Amino acid sequence: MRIGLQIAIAASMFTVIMTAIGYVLLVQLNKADPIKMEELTKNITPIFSFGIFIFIVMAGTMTFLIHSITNPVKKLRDAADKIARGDLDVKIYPKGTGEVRDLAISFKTMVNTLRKSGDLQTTAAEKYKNLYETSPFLYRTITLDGLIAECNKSYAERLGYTVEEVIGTHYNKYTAPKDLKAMTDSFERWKLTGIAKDIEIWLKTRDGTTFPTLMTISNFYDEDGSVIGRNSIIRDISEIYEARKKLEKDALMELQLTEIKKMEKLKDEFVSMMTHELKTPLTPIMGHCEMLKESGLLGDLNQVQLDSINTIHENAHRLERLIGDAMLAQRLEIGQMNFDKQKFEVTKLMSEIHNDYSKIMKEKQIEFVNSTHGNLILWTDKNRIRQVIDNLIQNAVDFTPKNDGRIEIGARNEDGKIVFYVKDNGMGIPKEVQPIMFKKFYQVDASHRRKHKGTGLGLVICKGIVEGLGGGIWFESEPGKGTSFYFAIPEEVLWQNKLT
Amino acid sequence: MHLLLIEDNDSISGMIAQYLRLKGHDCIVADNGKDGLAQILSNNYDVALLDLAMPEFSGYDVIESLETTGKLKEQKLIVLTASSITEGKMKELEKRGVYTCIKKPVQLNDLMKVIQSCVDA
Repeated sequence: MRIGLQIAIAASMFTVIMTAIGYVLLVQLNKADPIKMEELTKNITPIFSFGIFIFIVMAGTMTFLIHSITNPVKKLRDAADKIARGDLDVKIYPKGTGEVRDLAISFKTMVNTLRKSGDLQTTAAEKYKNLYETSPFLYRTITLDGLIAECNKSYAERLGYTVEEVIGTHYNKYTAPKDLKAMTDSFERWKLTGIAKDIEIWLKTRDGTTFPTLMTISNFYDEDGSVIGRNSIIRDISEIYEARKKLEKDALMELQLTEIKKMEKLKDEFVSMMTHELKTPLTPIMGHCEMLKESGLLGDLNQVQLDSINTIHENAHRLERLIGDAMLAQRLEIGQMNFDKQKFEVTKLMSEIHNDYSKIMKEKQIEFVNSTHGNLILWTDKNRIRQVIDNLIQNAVDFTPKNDGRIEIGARNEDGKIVFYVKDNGMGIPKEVQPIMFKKFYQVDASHRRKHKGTGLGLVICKGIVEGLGGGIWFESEPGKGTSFYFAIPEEVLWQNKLT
Repeated sequence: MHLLLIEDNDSISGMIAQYLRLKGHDCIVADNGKDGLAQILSNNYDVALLDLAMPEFSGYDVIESLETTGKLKEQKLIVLTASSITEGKMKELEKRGVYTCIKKPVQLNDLMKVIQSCVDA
């Protein structure tokens, strides 16, 4: 454009000059002829004037163009130079007209875009710097000499140092003693091969405590592409380690539990077998006692012989009961008790029990009362309920003084449960032994055990049966005044039939 | 009464047989399940007393064989059980046709009463 203008100006100037030269030449040639001179002047003047006019127009246009095109373009060129030097701090005012203005606007847009992307780059760098510093991962860069060239804040802080303290130190300063060899081996192997596998290494903090980590290693290259160090991303796996340890422990415990269950099963089989084996010889012992005792069957015995047989027979009975109770307690303990459910009238059962014991109670001169009222019905194992009541009555009889003893049995409905009770006015249970009443082989008075016919398993069995039927058993007792045993069985069938 | 006792334990069978004989009854002893079964199949006993836990051919096997031959309905059977048997199993046996189950150690006069009621039944 500029060249075009310059040509136009040059052309107009050429026209003016050429016209002037022509005019001077014609004047020289026609000096003598005034008429021709006058005609010539008349003809040349418009051409000359036109040349001058064109020149003025062209010069004016030139001046205008220099202002409206060249200057803004020059400014844009300066700005571009600045940008090329990396300085984005340039100001552009879209001046001029048409394409130049459009160009300036585009240029300004471009500069703004550049500026924005520059800002983004700065933000990203800051962001990554921030991530590096505060990442939950521990980062460190180690040179080929094993010195830490760089590390993040997390790394330094986790180990109890500042970043400045860490930089320049050897990596093994932070390796737990037990992993020194593994760490050195890994490092040396990496130096030889340039390859380092993920490795579990325990690190050591400033105060000497250690923690497990998982290290992922990548190579660190210089501009020529040769390895000059390695970047380690270190993950503190203390929590994972603990969780893993717990899992291992749980697995071990489960294994032990399986073993225990196996042992329990063996124990149960052993108890069953022993019970059977122990009871078998009792059959002929007791049978022969019975025959000897029966008058006339095997010939008559004198009183001393009879007493002797009675003692044998009595003890055989006691042994039989002991074996039976031990087996029952064992079954209850391992939840292998079978219950036969049936619907039955509690009131009727209590009357039966009262009748069955009336004779013995009369003999012992114990007042025996059944205070069951109403029509109570349960759906549970009747025989086992009876067994519990029998046991409690037996206890009450054994611990109640003759002559002025009183035993009361009964059952009542209480909040959807049938509560059975056996109350006596006997010696009571000393406060200090009340908490261990349901433990195996416990009897209030050790010397009493010899007199008492029980096995020391009665209450254990009662508790096992009641709980097996979904109920609970408890007692109230005051030494010297008596004891009341209660057990409650839910009316709804809550118990589960535990099968062998 | 003509009685059969199937019991592998000599002390027990000897004692029970002695008692029953002293009580005036005729008692044959079989010391294993197979002999016992053969006795039942070839004789007519008023009551057979059967021990359950026997090696090789148990009391259960005897009952099963009697069931398949249809003889269980004809032969009155009292089972003498070890202590380890459950109430449920006892009931099941009674359902199958066994007159009753008595737990060892047996009381002889009780046994006698049960035999009597079984014969009368």
